[in-house]
Order: sequence, then C-alpha cells, then structure tokens
Amino acid sequence: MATMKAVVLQGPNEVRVEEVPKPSEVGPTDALVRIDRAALCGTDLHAYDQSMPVDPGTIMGHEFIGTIVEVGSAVQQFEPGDKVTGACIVSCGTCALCRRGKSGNCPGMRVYGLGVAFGDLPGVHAEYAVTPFADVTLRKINNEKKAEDVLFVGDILTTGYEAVRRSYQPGDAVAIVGAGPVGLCATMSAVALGAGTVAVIDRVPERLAEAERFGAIAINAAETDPQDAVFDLTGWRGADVVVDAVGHPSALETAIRVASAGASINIPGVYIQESLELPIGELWFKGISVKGGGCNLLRYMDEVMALVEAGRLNPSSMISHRMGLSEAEKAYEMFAKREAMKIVFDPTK
Amino acid sequence: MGYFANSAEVDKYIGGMFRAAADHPEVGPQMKAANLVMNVVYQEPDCVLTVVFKEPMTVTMEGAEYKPDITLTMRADTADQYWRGKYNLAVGLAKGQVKAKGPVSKILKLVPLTKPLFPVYNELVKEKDAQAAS
Repeated sequence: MATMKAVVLQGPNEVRVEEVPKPSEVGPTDALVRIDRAALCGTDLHAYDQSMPVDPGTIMGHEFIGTIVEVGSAVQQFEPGDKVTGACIVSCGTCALCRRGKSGNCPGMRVYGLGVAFGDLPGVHAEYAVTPFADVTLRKINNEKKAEDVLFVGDILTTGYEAVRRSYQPGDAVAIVGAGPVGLCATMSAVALGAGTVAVIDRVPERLAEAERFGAIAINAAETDPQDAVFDLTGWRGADVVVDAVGHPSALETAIRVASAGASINIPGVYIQESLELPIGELWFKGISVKGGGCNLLRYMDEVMALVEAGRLNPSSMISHRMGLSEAEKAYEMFAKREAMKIVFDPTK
Repeated sequence: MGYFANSAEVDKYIGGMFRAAADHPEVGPQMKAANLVMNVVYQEPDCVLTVVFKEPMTVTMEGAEYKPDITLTMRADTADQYWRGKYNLAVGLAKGQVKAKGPVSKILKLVPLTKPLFPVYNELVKEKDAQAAS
C-alpha cells in the first residue's frame, strides 16, 4: 500500500507526523490533489487544544494549494496538472441553501481536518488529499506567481473579505476588532473595496503595525478607548461595518460600542460558547444587524481570486514562517504560543 | 426487509450501544457531562429512543417524560450503518436522510464522542450478523 506523510492529531495539544495510507479512492466528483503548500490556521488550534472536540487520528489542516493528480469521471473543470486551491468548507453546491449563496450553511457541509463532527474529511497537512465536489469547491490558479497569496483564498482571506463585503457600501467606515490573520484579511479587503475609513483595534503593537501597512488606522485598546477613537474618526457617527475577528465576548462588546446606528456587525471569529450576555438594549436602539456563521466561500471566492490575481489583495505578506511538514509538531507548538503570525508548510520537506 | 426486525431490536442493539457507552471509560464521563436529552426518531421499524446524557445516563424507548434538547430522525438502517462506521452523517444530512433539530453547538460536541463507540456496536451486533449470514 502506498503511503504518505501527514500531520495526525493524537490528543490535546499533541500532533505527530506519521506515515499513513495515501488516498486511493477518487469518487466521480472528486479530485486527488498533491498538496504543494498548506497553512496553519487559527481553527486548527481549536482542534489542537480540543476546545472544539475533534477525534484523535484525524489528519489536520484545511488551507492549501496543490496540483491535481487525478479527477473523477464526472469532473469537467479540471484535469491532472492543474494548479488549484480549494474551499476549506466543502459544500455540495446544489442544495437549496447553496443555490441561494449560503454555502456556509449547507446541511452536508464538511471541513477538512475537523473530524467526524464535520464530515470526517481527512485534512491537507499531508502530501495528498481527496477534494470532494471538485467542480464546485476548487479554483484554478491562473498566475502561479500569486500562488502563496491564493493559498489563503479558500479560507481566511475570503472569510475576512465576506465579513466586510456582505454588508458593505462604498465609502463606509469599517472597524475591525482583532488584528490576527482574519482581521488583517478583513483590513486589506476593506481597503481594496474602497472603504472611507478602515480602523483596526487590537492590543498587540506588532499586529497593529501590520494593519497600518495594509492601509488601516491602528487603535491600541491598551492605550485608547476604542469607542472614543472610532467616534473621533467618523464625526461621532461610529463605524458602518464592524468585524469581530476575535470570537470573544469582550471583542463583541467592543464591536457593539464602536458601531454606528444602523450598522452591521459581522462575526468571522468562531464562538465556541453556547451562550453569553449581550447588551440587547444597545443593539436594539442602534438597530444593529449581527451575522456570523461559516463563510459562504462559494459565493465570494471568485471575487477574491480576481482581486488577488490583480495584485489588490496580498495576504502572503502575513506569512511569518515557512517550514517543512516534518516540522509540524514544532510549528503547532509555536502557533499555539502565538510565536508566529502565519506558518506555511512545504509537504516535500 | 431492514436490519432490525422490530423496535425491540432497535432498543436491544442501538439502545444497548448507548447503555454500553455510559460505562465506556473514555466516552461515558463526557457523555454524562453533556447535560442534555436527545430523542432519536427511527423509521422502519418506527420507534423513539430517548437518551438522557446526565448522571445517571438513561436510555428508554417510547413514552419518555423528558423534553428533548436535540431530536434526530432517520431510518433505523441508517443508524445501523452509522454505528458500524460506514455512514457519513454530513452526507446523510445533505441528502435529507438524517434530519436534526436543536442547538448545533451541542450536536457538534456530541458527534465526536461517537467514533470510539463504533467497535462497541460492531461487537454488539456480531452474533446477529452471524445468524443472518448462516
């Protein structure tokens, strides 16, 4: 039996690089992809530390670019040799919700590397992976020079983009709470979309400096009241679009405080808590809309691909470390300790 | 003809698997900590299994007094295939073969607990499988 190298979850805070069977079953709508690069994402950490229960034995990872090795008999858009990236959330593309642009709510939604609760789809921190519904979930890379930017299209970049784009009007003031990778993707998206003001709130000076490089105004919440700062920037109106890119009650509270009347708060940050207290009076009187949930990748990936290939979104500048897949154990430890902004694996090493 | 002849067999094998889960050293404590009630409505044969994920964990058929937090519905044969590790729940949900009602966050926490139970279920049905084969 042919084998491959893969990062396998062992238990809380423990992964191991193992030799596992290379995928051999390619269904009619599937493609077998050789993984050329894969990235570590904050969602992988939820599985790693078991704050999101994922069964041991799961092959980790969901952000990738690769080369198609084999396609199923019904695949029409791709052929072996094509360079591709893929949606980390595998939606069917044909159900009622997918047809209405809500692929993040597809009832059969699966996610690579998150275990049996998310469809038992082996992850992409491996040399090879089978990608279901290839025609629906994969996108061809036309400009290989942009491949490292495209690496983020299937997850955090489109997630950050949607968090702004889904309720955005040209010229809007956009405030982003949290300058981690998703927050920075939202930041560069807001700038690319032509926002009037883009303000980013965080407490880590290095991350705020990164946000400034992408064209945002940095607000250090450790030094300034974020509400005062955002209101000063917007003529005491507040932000029209607010992104909670953290997924923590304190971030949501900040998001509500900096929002204008009639604003939209979009939450790409993952909330694992089952319930929390909300200032419902503030939400009601301001008429704020709140949206969360898994990203509707199928709806927005093509827009994001076009902006990446045009050079208007450059998320690869967030990559802090490039490592061999064989170093994955160390990489996960570093990422969990927040010693790295974004780590990219080369499965050949 | 489905795998289970009647509701008593659903109780014996699927219900039996949940009863065994309560004593499973790894899964049992986590299931009891879930603090929720789940109804599973099976078709062919038609019956309802109520699992109380609390201490003590209980599994009963029909007429349960608890209001469920989560309700699932599926054919009994689908449940049999799932517990053998041969049925992908996500695909079943996509096809409408399995339907779920209740807080998604709670369902997502329960599902990963089921995987270590696949061998337990396969052991439970071994004799029935052998009889069917002979």
